[in-house]
Amino acid sequence: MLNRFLDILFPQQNCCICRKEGRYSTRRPWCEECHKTMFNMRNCMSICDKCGKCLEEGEGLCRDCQTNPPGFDIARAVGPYDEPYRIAIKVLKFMGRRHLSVQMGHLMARAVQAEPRFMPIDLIIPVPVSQANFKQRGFNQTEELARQIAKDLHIKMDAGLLRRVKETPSQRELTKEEREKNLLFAFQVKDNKKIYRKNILLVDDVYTTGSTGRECTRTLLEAGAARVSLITWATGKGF
Amino acid sequence: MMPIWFSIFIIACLGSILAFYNFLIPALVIACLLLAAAWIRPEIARSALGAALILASFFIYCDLRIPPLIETLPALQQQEIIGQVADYPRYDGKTTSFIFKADGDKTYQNKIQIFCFFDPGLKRGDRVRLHGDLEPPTPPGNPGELDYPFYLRCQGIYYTMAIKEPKAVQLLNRVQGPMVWLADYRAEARELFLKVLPEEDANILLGMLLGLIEGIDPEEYRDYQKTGIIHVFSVSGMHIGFLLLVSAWLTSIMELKRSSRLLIGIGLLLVYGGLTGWPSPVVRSSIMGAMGLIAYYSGRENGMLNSLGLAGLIIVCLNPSAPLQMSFQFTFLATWGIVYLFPLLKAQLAYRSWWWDLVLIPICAQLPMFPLLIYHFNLFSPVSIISNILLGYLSGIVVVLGFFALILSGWLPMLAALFLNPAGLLIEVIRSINTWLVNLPGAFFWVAAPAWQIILIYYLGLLLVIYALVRKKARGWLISGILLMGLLLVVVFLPASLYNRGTMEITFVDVGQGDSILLKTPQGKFILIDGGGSEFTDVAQRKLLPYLHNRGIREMWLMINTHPDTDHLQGLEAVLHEFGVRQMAIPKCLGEAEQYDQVKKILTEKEIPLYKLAAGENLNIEKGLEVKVLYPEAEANVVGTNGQSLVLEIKYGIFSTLLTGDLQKEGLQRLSEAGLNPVTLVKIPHHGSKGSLLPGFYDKTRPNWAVISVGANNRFGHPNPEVLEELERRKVKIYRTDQKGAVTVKCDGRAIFIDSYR
Repeated sequence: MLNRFLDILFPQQNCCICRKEGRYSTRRPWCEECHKTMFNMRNCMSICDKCGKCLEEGEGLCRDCQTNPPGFDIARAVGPYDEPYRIAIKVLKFMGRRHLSVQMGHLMARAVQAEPRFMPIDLIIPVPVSQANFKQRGFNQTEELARQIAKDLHIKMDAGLLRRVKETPSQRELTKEEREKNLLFAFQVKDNKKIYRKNILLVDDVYTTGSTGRECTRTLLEAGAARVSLITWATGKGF
Repeated sequence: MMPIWFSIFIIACLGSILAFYNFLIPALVIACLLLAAAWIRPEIARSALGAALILASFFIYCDLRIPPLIETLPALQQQEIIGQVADYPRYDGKTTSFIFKADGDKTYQNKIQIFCFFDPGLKRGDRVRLHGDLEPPTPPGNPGELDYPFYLRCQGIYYTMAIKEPKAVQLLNRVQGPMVWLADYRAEARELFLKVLPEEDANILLGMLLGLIEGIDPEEYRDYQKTGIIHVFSVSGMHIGFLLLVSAWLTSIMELKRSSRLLIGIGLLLVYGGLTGWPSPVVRSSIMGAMGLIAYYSGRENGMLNSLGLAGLIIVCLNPSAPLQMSFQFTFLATWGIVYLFPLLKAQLAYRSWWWDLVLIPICAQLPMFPLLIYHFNLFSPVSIISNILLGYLSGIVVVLGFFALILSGWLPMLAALFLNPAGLLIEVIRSINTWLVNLPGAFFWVAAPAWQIILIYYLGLLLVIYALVRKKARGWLISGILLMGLLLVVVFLPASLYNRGTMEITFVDVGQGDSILLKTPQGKFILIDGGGSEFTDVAQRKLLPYLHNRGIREMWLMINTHPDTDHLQGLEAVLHEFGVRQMAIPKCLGEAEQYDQVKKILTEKEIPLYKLAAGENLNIEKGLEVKVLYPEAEANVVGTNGQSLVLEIKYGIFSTLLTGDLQKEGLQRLSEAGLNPVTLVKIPHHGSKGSLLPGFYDKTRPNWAVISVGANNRFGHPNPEVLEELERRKVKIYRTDQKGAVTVKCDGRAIFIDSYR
């Protein structure tokens, strides 16, 4: 409703990804071409059976999952962390176009529905962002995505359950080992009772090395969750 | 693709303008063209149909809201009206003016412009009962004069009421509410500012901060006009931008939630808008500011043109005649220049240093409103490029300091002073820089008002330039666009003397109660005989100078004063200040009169020769044009200045005229005895007073036409009915400047054309 109103107040006349002129809205934030590109990329991608990372070719597990199996059941992404997908995340996160989360969350929910191994899900939890990022952006993009997924799947979402207790420096410049060390005990479950024996779907924006997902999963499982799966918007390469 | 709200706004403006002038046929033609376009080209059918629909609905909406135009509304004597003070009363030391919103629903008396010749102590929102005569505002008498009825009509005002006695104003009750609190807050802040700062500085600060300009010395205010930075005295986007920055900064320090930041921002906009009284630029920039805030906090892309369009649309809906208002046009054109032209040109010029931004922004704001500025103010200020860089941004700092002082003034006056003092210092700097700038050679030029066709060509040129810049393939149009725009400058800079060569032109300028006659010789010299004047209003600034500027006159070849009464001499002083004057002449017998002291001082200062004329002299101006002094003799033995008025006889071809100043019966008698030739036109002596009626004079002169230069409803009862009767009896065609406005007589030697402005 609010988004409808804002669509009228601030008519979108450029594709949010390629800036092509046209008539866009919250439900249709990018143009046909970008949409098609995304669709094709999703279909051509071969992925790790477990963590959903892109594989160079063939099927099976990526090297990571072979050597160090993650705690979650399954992780999937809508598409690879590449051109249209990457721009969408950038526009959402850094340019603050919050309404993009509607369509992105919608696609993520569809990806969940498309994979039977995700079911059952009792609770949706977004991966918390650091306080500094939240302050800077004024919103938590994973929460916005999770909200839309919860709406589409008719499952409860709780953003406050998983908290970040350690302020961690940006992950970008770090190697995998450093990231893992950096994130160790960074999260905490607020109320163990609420997740006890629950099947949980974690929501994050990008899956690169998987350290964030793994650490969250570990925290949740330790707190008593039955099973954890992970859905992200985009995923990195596993080769 | 044009942003959707902006396109709707443009069409809405078109609909409103067409409805204002009752242009039904053109509106229908445009709508039909749009429909035809939709028919022929299906790919634009949707937009064209939409445009036609919007145009039609806005035309109908505005037509319903704007009452039909009646040329002459009757004056209504002795009315009693009850209603509310609808804006902040402005008191300039002599007159208080405010807009009054009457109860009830009489089409033409909904809103009334009130003038009180005292300070009634009223506040915005007060309920009052007023007694007085409702009069329609006086239309302009000369080209170039502010069209006051039009100006009021754009605000939905059709009547004015002048109140002379305090007892005619009765305060019924003072409603408490946010409006009154704001009014009080404003009054208190004003008092504090005036206490802390020197009066002039405080008034300038109030002007920059709240658009309160009535305290600023008119002379100084005109200087800002001349340097092209008058916009610092209208509250605009800059103020709103600073306000929102301050609010964003404070709320982020307080670590408030997003929604409360948004609410605080919008609340501040409302308070500030209320303090300024919501003139169009404030409404525009507040809506844009609010939209920016909402976009920012809801994560939307805020197209500036879109929010500009939406702001305009809201204003047009609230006041359908707004697009006809000067302030509306200026604020929207300037903003359009900044949000659209500036990025476009910046991308073209591809400079590195941000310094160039500071130069380019004011230029981009000026470009779209340039022809209108020239049209309304006849001013072209090359210095405005410098003044905007030096002073425009400096005034921004003053505004920020002022904001803090304004916020603190209600609670901690001592702390407010802390901000006021540096602001005052900066204002001193601004004032002295401005004085320096205005006196630079070539700082500004008075230029003729361009014809509307030229203005249209300018805008076509501007559109061409934009087209050429947007479409890479159409680069070739760039030069032609610039040339078309340049045409305007060429036309307005052509000297006024170029027009109508070989034709003599005499204009009896409407200066209210007084005389002012402009003679253009066949070869293009300008001679001004008297300049009007009044003890009550600045006639020169209101009537005479705008007329002379409007014609693009920059030099007066000769100025003649018939006698030194205020209503003949005062305006000439202003002309001496503003124009290059080659020489001046006064009657010899009054040469030592003390009223001339001031003028003589200016003449010596500017090294302008002064000639003293006496009867029998011939002014050698040019071949074919005869100007003869008939009266008075060098030693006139008459009492009073009127009786010693200079009388001139002007002859060109078949045309001849007698300009008689304020000559009385006695003088006329002497003239008649001395022998007078018949003339085509007589300027009736002394505004048609009874003391100057001498039938014998008309026996001798036998004029075809008579011009009476007189003010409407003057306190002397001029022109006297007996004078009018006498002239009518002689079948003389009478032109009165109070009824007809400026009267112009043209003669090319063989034929005479007489015409009046109204």
